[in-house]
Amino acid sequence: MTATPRRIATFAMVLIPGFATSACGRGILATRTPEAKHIALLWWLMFSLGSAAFIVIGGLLFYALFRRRTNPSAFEQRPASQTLFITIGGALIPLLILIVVFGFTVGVMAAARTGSGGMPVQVIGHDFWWEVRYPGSGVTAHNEIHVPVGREVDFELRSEDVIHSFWVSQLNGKTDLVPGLVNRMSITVTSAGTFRGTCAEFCGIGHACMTFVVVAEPQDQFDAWLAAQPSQPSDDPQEFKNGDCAGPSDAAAERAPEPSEVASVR
Amino acid sequence: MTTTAARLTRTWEAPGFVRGIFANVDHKQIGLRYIATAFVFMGEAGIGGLVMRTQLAVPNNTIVSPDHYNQVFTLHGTVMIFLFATPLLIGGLGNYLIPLMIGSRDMAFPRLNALSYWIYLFAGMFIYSSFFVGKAPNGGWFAYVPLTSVAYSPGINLDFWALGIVFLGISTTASAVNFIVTIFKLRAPGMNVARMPLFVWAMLVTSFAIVFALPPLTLGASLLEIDRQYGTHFYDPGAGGSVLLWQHLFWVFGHPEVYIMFLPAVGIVSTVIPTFARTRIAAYTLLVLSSVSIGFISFGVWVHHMFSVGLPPVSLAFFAAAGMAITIPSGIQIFAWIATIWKGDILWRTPFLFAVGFLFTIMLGGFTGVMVSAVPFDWQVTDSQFIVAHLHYVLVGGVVLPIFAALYYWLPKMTGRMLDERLGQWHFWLFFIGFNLTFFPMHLMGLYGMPRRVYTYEPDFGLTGLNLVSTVGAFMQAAGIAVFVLNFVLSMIRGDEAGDDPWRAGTLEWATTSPPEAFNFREIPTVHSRDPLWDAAAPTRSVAQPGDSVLRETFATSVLDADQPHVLVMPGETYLPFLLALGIGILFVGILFNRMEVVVAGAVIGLAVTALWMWPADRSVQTSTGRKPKSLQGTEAPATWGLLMFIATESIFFALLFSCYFYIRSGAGAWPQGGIESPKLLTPSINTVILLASSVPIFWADASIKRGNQAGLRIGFALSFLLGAVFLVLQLREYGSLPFHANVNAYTGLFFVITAFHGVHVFVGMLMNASTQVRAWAGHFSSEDHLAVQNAGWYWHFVDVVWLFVFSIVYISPHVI
Amino acid sequence: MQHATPVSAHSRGLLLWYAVLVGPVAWSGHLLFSYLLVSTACDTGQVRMRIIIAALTIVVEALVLSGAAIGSRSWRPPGNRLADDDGDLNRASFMGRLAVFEGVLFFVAALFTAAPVYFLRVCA
Repeated sequence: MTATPRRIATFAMVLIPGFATSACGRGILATRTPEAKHIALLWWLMFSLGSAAFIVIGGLLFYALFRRRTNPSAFEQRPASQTLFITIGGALIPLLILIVVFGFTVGVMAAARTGSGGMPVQVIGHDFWWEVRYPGSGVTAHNEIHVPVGREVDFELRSEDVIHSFWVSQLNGKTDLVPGLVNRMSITVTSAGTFRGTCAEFCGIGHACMTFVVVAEPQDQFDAWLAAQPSQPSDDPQEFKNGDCAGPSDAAAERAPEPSEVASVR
Repeated sequence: MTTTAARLTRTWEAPGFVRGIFANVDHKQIGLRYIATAFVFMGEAGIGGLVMRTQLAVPNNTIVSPDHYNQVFTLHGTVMIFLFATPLLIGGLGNYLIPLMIGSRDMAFPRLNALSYWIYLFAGMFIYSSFFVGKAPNGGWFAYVPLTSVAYSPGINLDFWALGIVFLGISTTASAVNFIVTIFKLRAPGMNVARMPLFVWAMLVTSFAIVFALPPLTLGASLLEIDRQYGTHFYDPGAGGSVLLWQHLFWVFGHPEVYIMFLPAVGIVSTVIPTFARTRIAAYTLLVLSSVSIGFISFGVWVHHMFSVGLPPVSLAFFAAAGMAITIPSGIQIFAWIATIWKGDILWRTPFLFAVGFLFTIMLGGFTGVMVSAVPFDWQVTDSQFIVAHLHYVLVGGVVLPIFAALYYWLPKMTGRMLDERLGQWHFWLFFIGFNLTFFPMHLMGLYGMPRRVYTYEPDFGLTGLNLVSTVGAFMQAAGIAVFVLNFVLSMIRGDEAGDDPWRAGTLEWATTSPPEAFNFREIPTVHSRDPLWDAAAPTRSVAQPGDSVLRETFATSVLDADQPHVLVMPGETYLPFLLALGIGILFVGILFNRMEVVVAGAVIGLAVTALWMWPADRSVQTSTGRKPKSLQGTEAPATWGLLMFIATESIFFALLFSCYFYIRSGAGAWPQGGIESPKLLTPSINTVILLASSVPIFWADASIKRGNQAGLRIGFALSFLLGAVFLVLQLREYGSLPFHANVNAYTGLFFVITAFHGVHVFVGMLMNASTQVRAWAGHFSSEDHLAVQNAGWYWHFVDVVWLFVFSIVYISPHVI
Repeated sequence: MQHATPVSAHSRGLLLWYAVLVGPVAWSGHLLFSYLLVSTACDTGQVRMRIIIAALTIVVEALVLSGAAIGSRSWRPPGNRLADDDGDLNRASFMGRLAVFEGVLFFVAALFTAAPVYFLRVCA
C-alpha cells in the first residue's frame, strides 16, 4: 500500500516541470496584462495553500493508515479529543484558509474593471468567426484584433447567433458573448506580442476552429495598421465561416469541416 | 420457524418467468436490474469516452468527424450522469440496500418503485435510440440555447434529448419520493433518526435534493421542447425571451445534481471505512450535519456555472461565498474519516482500497472546487480542460471509486459469492493510476489555454505529450473495468460462499442471508444502537411481528423515533407498472414524432392503467389469525407522506414557472410584450370564485366520511367535480377568445404555458376526484378508512392554491405593477 | 420525558424540527433575497443596498442563532446518559446538537454571503 504516496511523488516530479514550461510559454500564467496577472497571483495563492493542505491532510491520512497499532489511540480513549481534531482540522483551519482565499478573490474582482475610458473595440461572434470593429475609424477586421500596447482597451462583446466566449488566456479570463446582451471587458496589454485566442463556449460544429489572434503593438504601429485597413471589409464573411482551424497545415485542412457541412447544420 | 419461513416465501416470492420479470415489485430485484442496466449504459458511454480520448491522442486526428465528436461528448455526459451514476446509486444501491439497512421488507411503494425502473429503462432506450439512427443529441449535456434551439439545431437530435430528460425525470422523482417515505416511515422499531446508518442519511438528503432539483430541469427541458415543437419564444431574445433563463434553470438543477451523486457516494465511504477500520464511525452527528448542510448549500451555488455570462460582480461573489462554504462540511467529512481510520485497526480489502483512493482524489477535486469558486480564476479556467479535470476528479474519483467500493462490499450480499481479492487489487490499481493519468494532465492543459469540447487541436499548441498521456490513462481505466467484469463473472462461476456477514459489519443488511430471501427479514428486528450487529445484545424480536398472514406485511413506524409500530400491508406482483411505463413511453414517442394519434394512444393506456392502479387489492383477505389489518390514516400512513412530497415537488415546479414569468418580464420593456393588452379580468375572476368554491364541498366530504356519512362524501366530491369542469370549460372559452396564440412572443408563451399547466393539474385533480367517487360508491370508505379521500382532497386544495398565484400573477399583476 | 405530558412532548418535537431547519432555510432565503436585490442594484442605489443587506443579515443571523439556542437546550440527554455520541445518542440530544452545529456553520456562511456587498461596487 505504500505505493500510493510514492506514486503521487512520482506524479509531482513529472508534472512540476510541466507547470514551469506552461508558465513561461503561454496560457493563463504567462500573463501580459495586469488583469491576467492578478488572476495568476490568485492561482499561485490557492495552489500553494492547496498543496500545503494536500501534504498535511495526506500525511495525516497516511499516518492514520500505517501507524503502529500497539496501543489504543487517544481517540479511542477520549472521544472528545476526536471531536476536537475533526472540528479544528475539518472546520476551523479550512475556515481561516477560506477567509484568505475569499478576501483575495473579492480583491481581484474589485480590481477587475469594465471601464469606458479606453479605446473601444467591438467584437461580434458569428458561427464560426470573429468580427472586429473599431468604432472610431469604421474599420472592420476578421479573426485578428490589433491593440496598442500600454493603453486600456474596452471590449464590447456581442453575438449574432449562439453563445460564444471570448478567451485570450494570456490577457484575461473569459467573457461570454450572449445573444440579446452586451458584455464588456477591459484590458491593458503591457508588452508587444501575438496572443492566441479562442472561442471557449461550445457553439456547434466549428467550435474548435473558432480561433483568433490578438496582436499587441506600439501605438504608432497600431495607428499605421489601422490606417492601412480598408474601411469596408473586402472579404466575404462566408470564407471565415470555417474559422482558422486548419492553419497552414494541409493535413488539417482536409479534416476541417467543409463549408457545406457547416452550412448544413444551420 | 421453518413454517414461518415457508409461509413468508410463499407470500413474498414472485413465481413464474413472465410474472417474475414483468410483474416483480421486489426492491432487491429492481435494485439489481438498475445496477445491471446502469452498467450497460456505463459501458456504452465509457466507449464514447475512449473514442474522444483516441481522437485527441494526437493533434489533427481524424478518427471521428466534428459532428460525431459533438454527439459523442453530449451522450457521454448525458448518459454518465442521467443513466449511469444517478440511477446506479439511487435506483440501484439505494433500492437494494435501504430497506435492508432500515429493517423493512420492501420500499414504501413497491409498485411505484417498479414503475421507476421501467421508466428509467424506457427513457434510457429512448435517449440511446437516437445514437442508432445517427441523430444523437449534439448540443452538450448542458444543451445551451440558442445552440439547441430549432434555428441552430433543426434535426431531431435535441428532441430526443429534451423529451428523454423529461421522461426520465418522472422516474427519478418517483424514486426520490419513494425513498423519503420509506426512510421516514418504514424503519425498524427503535431506529430513531440518531441511529440511522449514514448511507441512509445520505440517501434521505439526496432524495430531498432530487425532489427540489428535478422540477427546474423538467421545466427547462419542457420549455425547450415547446419552443422547438410549437414555435414559442421562451429562450429567443429576438422575441422577448431570454437565453440566460435556460442557464439558470439548468444549473439550479445541475449543481445540486453533482451532490445528488456525491452524497450517496459519501454515504458509501462512511459505511465502508468503519467496517474495515473495525471501529465505530467518528463524529456521527457531524457527518449527518455535513450531509444535511451540503444538501442545502448545493442549491445556492448554481450561478457558479455562469460566472462569465456578464452578471454583476456582487451577484457572483454571493455564489462564490456559497461555493466556498461547502468546503467546511466537506472538511469535516475528511477529518471524520481520518479519525475513524486512526482509531481503528485496518483490514485491507478491496472495498477499503477504493475508499482510500477516494479520499486522496476527492481532496484534489475539492481543492480545485474551491479554486473554481474563486470568480476571477474561474473566468480563466471555465470551459477549459481544467474543468474537465476538476469535474472528473469529483465524479470519477468522488463517485465512481465509491461505487466500486460499494460493489466489492455489497455484491457478496447480493449474489452470495465473494469477489476475488487479487483481481480486485488489479482492478483498483489499473483504474486508479489510469484515472489520474487521464485527468491530472487536463489541469495543465487548461492552465495552458486548451478549451474543452474541441474535437482537435494544433500541433504547435504544445500539448501533444499531455494529451497522449491522458489517452493512455483512459485505456488503463478501461482495462481496470475489464478486470472487474472478469472478476464478477469468475465470482459467479466459482466465487467463495459469502455467508451472511463476510465483513463482520454492523448494519442490519448483514443480518439477512446472502442473497437475502424475498421477505428480507424473518422477523423485523428491534434496534438499540447505530450498529445493531455490533451490540452486545443482538437486535431483539419486536412486540407483535407482522408477517403471520398471507398478506405482505411490514412495519410502519413514527418519523423521528421509529416507535409505535403499525402493521403495513404491501401490494404484491402486478403488471401495472410495466404497462403504465409503456403507455408513458408511447406518449413520449408520439410527441417526438409529433403524431397526435400516438400521443392519444399512450395517454389512454396510461389513464386506463392508472385507474386500475387506484383500485385497491382484494380487500376481503383476512389474516390467518382472523384479524383484519388496520388501515393507516393521516401521518401514520406512508401514502400521506408520499402525497406531501409530490405536492412539494409540484410547488417547486410552479414557483419556478412564476419565477420565469418575472425573470422574462424584468428583461422586457413594455409588459405585456408586443403591444398586447393586459388580460381581461372577467372570466378569470369568475373562475377564481368557482375554484375557491369547489374546495368547500371537499372539506365537507372529508368531514362527512370521518363521521361515517357516505352521502356527504359522494355529494361533496360530485359538486367539486362539477365546479372543476365548469372552470375548465370557461378556461377553454377564454383561450378561444384571445386575439393571440402562444407563439407570438415570450409573453404569450408564458400566458398559455402557466394557465395550461395549471389546467392540466385541475384535470388530474378531477381524475383523482372521479376515482375517489367510484370507490365511494363501491363502499370502500368508512370512518376508519378514508385515506384516499384525504389525499384527493389535499391535492384539490393544492391546485386551488396554485390558481390563486396564477390569477394574481398572470391576470392581476400586468394591471397593477 | 416520563412526566412530560404528550402535548409538551409534541411541541418540543416541533421546536426541534424548527431548530434543525431554521438555519439552512434562513441562509437560503438570505442568499436568494440578496441575489434578487442586487439584480435591481442600479435602481436601489449603493448606500441603500448596503443598509438593506445589513438589516437583512442581522435578521437572518438572529434566526440562525435562535435555532442553535433551542438546539443547545437539548444538548445534554435527559439523565445525562450517552453524552459522548459514540455508538448511540439520545434522539432529542442528537437533533439539538445537529441544530447547534448548523447554527455555527450557517452563521459563518451568511457572513460570507453578505461581506462582498461592502467591498464591491454593486452597480457597475
